[in-house]
Amino acid sequence: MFSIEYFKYLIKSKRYLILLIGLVTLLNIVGSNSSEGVYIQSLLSATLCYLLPVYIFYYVHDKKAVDTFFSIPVSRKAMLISGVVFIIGLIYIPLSITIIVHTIRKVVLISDVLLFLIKVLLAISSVVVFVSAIYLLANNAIDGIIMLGAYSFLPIMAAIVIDSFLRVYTCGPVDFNLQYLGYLSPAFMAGDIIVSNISNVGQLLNSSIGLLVYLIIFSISLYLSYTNRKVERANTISNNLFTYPFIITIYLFMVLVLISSSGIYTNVFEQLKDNFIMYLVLFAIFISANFLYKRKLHFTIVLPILYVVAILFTLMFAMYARNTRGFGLSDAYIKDNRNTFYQMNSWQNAPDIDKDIKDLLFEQSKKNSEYVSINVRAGDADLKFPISSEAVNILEKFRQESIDWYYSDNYKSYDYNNNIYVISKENNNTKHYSYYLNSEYTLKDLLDFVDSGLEVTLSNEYGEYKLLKDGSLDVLYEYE
Amino acid sequence: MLKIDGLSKSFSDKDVLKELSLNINEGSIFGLVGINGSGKSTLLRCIAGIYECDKGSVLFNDENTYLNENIRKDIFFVNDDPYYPMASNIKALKEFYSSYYQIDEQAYRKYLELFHLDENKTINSFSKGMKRQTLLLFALAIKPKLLLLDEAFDGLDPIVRFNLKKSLYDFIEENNSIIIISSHNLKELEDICDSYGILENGRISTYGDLLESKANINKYQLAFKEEIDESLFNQFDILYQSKEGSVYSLVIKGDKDEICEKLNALNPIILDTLQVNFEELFIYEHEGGKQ
Repeated sequence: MFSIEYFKYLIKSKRYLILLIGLVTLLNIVGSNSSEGVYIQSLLSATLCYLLPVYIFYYVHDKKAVDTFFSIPVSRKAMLISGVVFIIGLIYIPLSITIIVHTIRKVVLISDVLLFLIKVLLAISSVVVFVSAIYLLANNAIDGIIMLGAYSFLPIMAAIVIDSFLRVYTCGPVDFNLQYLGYLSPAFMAGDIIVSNISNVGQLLNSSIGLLVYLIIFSISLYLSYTNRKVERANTISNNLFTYPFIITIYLFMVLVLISSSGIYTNVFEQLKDNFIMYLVLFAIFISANFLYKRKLHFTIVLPILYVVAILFTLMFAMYARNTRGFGLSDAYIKDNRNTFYQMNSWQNAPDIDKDIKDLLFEQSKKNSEYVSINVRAGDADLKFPISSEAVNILEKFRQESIDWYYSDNYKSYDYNNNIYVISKENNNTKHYSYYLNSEYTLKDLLDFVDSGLEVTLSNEYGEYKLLKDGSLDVLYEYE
Repeated sequence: MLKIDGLSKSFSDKDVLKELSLNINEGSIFGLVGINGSGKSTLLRCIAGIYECDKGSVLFNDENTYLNENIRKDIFFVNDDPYYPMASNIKALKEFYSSYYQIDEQAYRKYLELFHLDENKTINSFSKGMKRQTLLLFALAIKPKLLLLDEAFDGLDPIVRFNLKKSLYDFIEENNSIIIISSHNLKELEDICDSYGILENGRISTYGDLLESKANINKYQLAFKEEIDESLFNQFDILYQSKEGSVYSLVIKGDKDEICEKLNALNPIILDTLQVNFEELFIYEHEGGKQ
């Protein structure tokens, strides 16, 4: 299971590296203050989590070295475990020493320090195992490093693409809670190690279960891929399904989805025309990626066909998203909308302002308004007080109209000055929604709102006023 | 005993070894020959347990060599392009190998001196031949029961080649091991091998005792007073046939006395018999059918 001989060999053969890391750690402990020292050591540890697996497992990708390492009388299992333990030890021991030395100077509970050290060990182990597993997916060192970059960025890219797509194809929801996707990336986990300190043990605790699951999954994957690895793969092109074939395909689709998120279109051809240059550039990148994969110019008719199919697929996917009103997400909404805060905003410049509103404001300040900002509100942003069902009905009507308009053929673009903003609470989670409106209001509309229990304020360059039921204005604030 | 049974190995779509079977007994130096790309190195890696066989098995002393660390203690493989960790010297390499194998210190010193190697010099500064000698030094000092040498004589000067051959003789005498050597230098193999195998089309096409095989294949040169009907030669197992002027050169497989008797019956005015060397044997066995 564990080879003492191989472990001793690693210590002996990497003694200069061990000395170097030891020296840096010593200088860091002596030369920096508490938080700075732990931060620098964490940064070093996070970097080593990436570098050491690449260095220690390099032999797997070297055609000459595999003959030596895979013919020595040590089982693959023992070689793998000894290698991983060596890497984790080389990162964890200096970091834990730094943490212990720096916390001695503070008043900290021993249990907190121990808990923290366990969590740091878990984080380091997870990243090292992940990096090793991905590096060994490839058949040569360069591809291994490329795969590391591609897989590390993949969850972040996925979060960006999903967020962009939903933002365009759903009407209403503002936050999609995709940040958890980032934690699928070891880069994020490594970042967690850097920013963590004993004062936020709790924060690290949140990610511990995820890290543990991660550690188990990638330990199994690393174990299986290493012990069943065919030695002849060393220094050949990486044609494993999970290397270039998967990475090129998934990134191609993600970028195509990102391009299709450039706007909501009613016509596929219009969308194709608008993004034509982007599609051409992406095709060049796609061909280059295939060149990198095969290490030769590999142009067959299959590639453009695959590319066109991918474009059509993403365009159809975008159309489907539009036709189903964001997969139904735009209509899936608040269950109890009485515990909701609504705020409707409308900005109008002088020529567009309703004459009655203009006159009312002139009466107040004896000056013509260049603009007016209308603000209609119901409820409070803290969601403490329920609002009347009459108010809800009026604002819900506007919200529904906004959704219908967004998915209609008449929709052109957002009007950031004319929107309705909604906050609601569901299962203790506060959710935010934003809708763009296509409405202009008359004074009569506004008075109806007030009658229905809504709060209406008007602002112009001279002040801010509350509209009262009798049609007069109550000064909230006036500029000098 | 090394027993290879129905071994097949392919890379991508190329079948390199096809249901290859071979047995080699202890105390044997086996010369593995074949043209470039015939699969000699692949076969040696399968025997060393580095490559997994697609089909069949490689048993050494009744144990499968693949992923078996116990049996690997008895096997040592010297590949055609040995690996050395960067900036390492022979001393560091000794540390590495002594972690897994029992190194005979006396033998180590002996071969270090014989090959004129400096154990403190970095291996990267060595010539190709010296690098190869470095690994041969460990191969001989570890004293494995199965020693696999891929292109063993490449890059070695005549004195080292001589020393190596002598060392391998001594090694086999002392340890009763099996040595398998692949090389293109058939002259060198002829000097030390007692058995051989020709790897062709993924299989061992010919194998056996080298002396016996050499005795069984001879070159006959004969001349006749008048033109003769060449179909008279069809009665022989001819590997090679040529004619220069009135002189026929025939390489014939079979009992020498019996063949001479039959050839004499054709009344040649000259009949000379020459023994073929290993290189010729390989060429005639490999190319014979194509002439």
